[in-house]
Amino acid sequence: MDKRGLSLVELIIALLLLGVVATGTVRIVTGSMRSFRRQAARSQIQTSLRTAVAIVASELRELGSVGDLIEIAPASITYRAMRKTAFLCRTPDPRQSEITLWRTPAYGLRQLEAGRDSILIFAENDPRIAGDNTWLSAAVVAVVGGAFCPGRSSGFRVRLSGMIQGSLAGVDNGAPVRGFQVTQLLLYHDSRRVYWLGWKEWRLGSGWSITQPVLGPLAPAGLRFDYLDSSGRATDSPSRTAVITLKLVAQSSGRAVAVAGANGMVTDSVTTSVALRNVASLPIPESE
Amino acid sequence: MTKGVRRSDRGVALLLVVVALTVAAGLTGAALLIALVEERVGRNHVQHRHAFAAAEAGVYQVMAGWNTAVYNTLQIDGETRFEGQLADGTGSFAGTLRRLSQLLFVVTAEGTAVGSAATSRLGLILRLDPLPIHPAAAVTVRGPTSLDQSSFIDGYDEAPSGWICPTPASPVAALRMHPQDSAAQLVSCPANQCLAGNPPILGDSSVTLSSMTTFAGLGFADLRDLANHVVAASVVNPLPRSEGETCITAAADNWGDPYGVDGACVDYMPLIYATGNLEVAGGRGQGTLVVAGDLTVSGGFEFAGLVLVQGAFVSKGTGNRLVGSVMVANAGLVQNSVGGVTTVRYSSCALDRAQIGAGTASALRTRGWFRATREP
Repeated sequence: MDKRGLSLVELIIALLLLGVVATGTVRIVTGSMRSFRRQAARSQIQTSLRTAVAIVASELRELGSVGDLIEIAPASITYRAMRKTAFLCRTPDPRQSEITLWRTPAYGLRQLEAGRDSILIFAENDPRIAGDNTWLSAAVVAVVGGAFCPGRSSGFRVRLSGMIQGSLAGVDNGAPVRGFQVTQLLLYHDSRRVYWLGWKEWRLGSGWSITQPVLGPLAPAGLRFDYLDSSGRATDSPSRTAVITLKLVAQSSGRAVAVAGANGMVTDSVTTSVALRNVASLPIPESE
Repeated sequence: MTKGVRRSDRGVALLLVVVALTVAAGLTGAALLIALVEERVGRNHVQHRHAFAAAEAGVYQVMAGWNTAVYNTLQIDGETRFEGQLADGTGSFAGTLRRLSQLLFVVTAEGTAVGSAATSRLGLILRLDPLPIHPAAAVTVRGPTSLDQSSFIDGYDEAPSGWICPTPASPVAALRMHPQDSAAQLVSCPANQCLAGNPPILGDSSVTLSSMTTFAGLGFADLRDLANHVVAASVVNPLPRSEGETCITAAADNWGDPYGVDGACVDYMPLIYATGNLEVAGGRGQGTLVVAGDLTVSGGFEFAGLVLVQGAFVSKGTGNRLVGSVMVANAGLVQNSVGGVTTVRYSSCALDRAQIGAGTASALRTRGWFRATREP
């Protein structure tokens, strides 16, 4: 029986070979794991981007250019976010600052809220003239539910402020009412200088609310709005804006994927154009 | 010589391979899972877009294919349903059209992507655009016109018998003519005995062929496109047609029912377009009657609404009664004759209803489009 052991040379060669194989294996495994984590991070970012784009596009699509866009800038937009569509169930008394709405049909994300919402009321004025239609703006002071509509049907009485006395004279029964809140979308950073797509609302009496994060983290300068008029030219005028282009650049929340980018972050971006549906002419189709 | 492998001589290759395969399988599985989730997210996104496109197609299809016979006769707060599919087969829609007031409608549609549960609800507020024709007289006419003593033209606003209408407006002229036509044309009706109005005869230089055949850009050819009935026959005798409570609007000789207050066709205000000369020998109707040639009425024809004639106008026989307004362009400037026992009475109410009945709808200029999300 051969009782000889391994020679030193054999041992060194074996250890070297083992080292090479182990190193290769570890490299493959860690590379695969890094790739997996990068893909997982990218997937999460893409999902967030899609969600954010869907939310923002849905908010902006319903706007018109006449008064709905309040302030436009590359990194923020202030607008009337439409929250409710309802209809008058009674012709309003022009001496009163009050309207009565059907409970159904009515559409929107929530009921009107006093102190938070304002409304726009469609005024037909002279029915023979289509061009004299207007929307009257007022703040919601109180909302009371009850059997206020014809046939004791369910409805809401809405008390208003900020209207010119008598201006309801041109408003007919059945007129549509749009409830809105003044809202701002903006790029902001928190105390750790992490950037976010933020959202805040204007509350009557108390001003702007605290900014809430909608999507993030974003890259610095990771939010950009561009504004186009109905002929596709860039504009800085809210009243001429017909299409809004939104670009979002999101990044991963940590540096776990160290080789992903120059700063160790995975980044991804999305760009979408939203044609404002309540602008008269729309030569540029929505590309979202 | 074969020897058994000693326990101490066994390698780690198998272990390494098993570990590596396990790790690789785990990573591959995770990657597949991510890909699967991505694919589902992407598919959901596409399906949502199809549902959105279907809903938007639904609301705009109602507007583009505005059915005056059905939609313009809806009662206030009345509804009608519709449904359809996208041309490319990626989605379908169903919804309702509701009348909010005389002029306003709201249409809502729910779009559904084919083969999925993705839905989207949108709405559009529409405003009816009535015919932009505003005659300021019981009869507006060009060319020589005679009026028999037994006939009568009245510019005092009056609702058709049995109609519920707003308070009458101020009286208008009985007869509105170009100043050159207004002198000594009424050979059979001395001292304007056959006319009542403010004034009985109004000389107006804006009464021209152009102003009588084109209205805010709307010409006779456009009116033909809007017509519910195109009449090629030379002699007609229109009468309302109904089955139970259903007005048979497809019947060519059904021009609505001006005096059947409880009838099925009382709200049907069609636009009738005659392609050439037309004689209406009795019968009744309402809405807007447009005649590209000459119009002759006889046999006690009764009509409520607006009558537009490109050629000349002749009435004869007894019992003809036109309530609303008559405009005669008389392109050939031949003799018009209001003869027999004919009454033409101005009615702002009949005119308004005729103009609304023939109107088409368009989205409000601002804020007509909305997300029709159901409230929680």
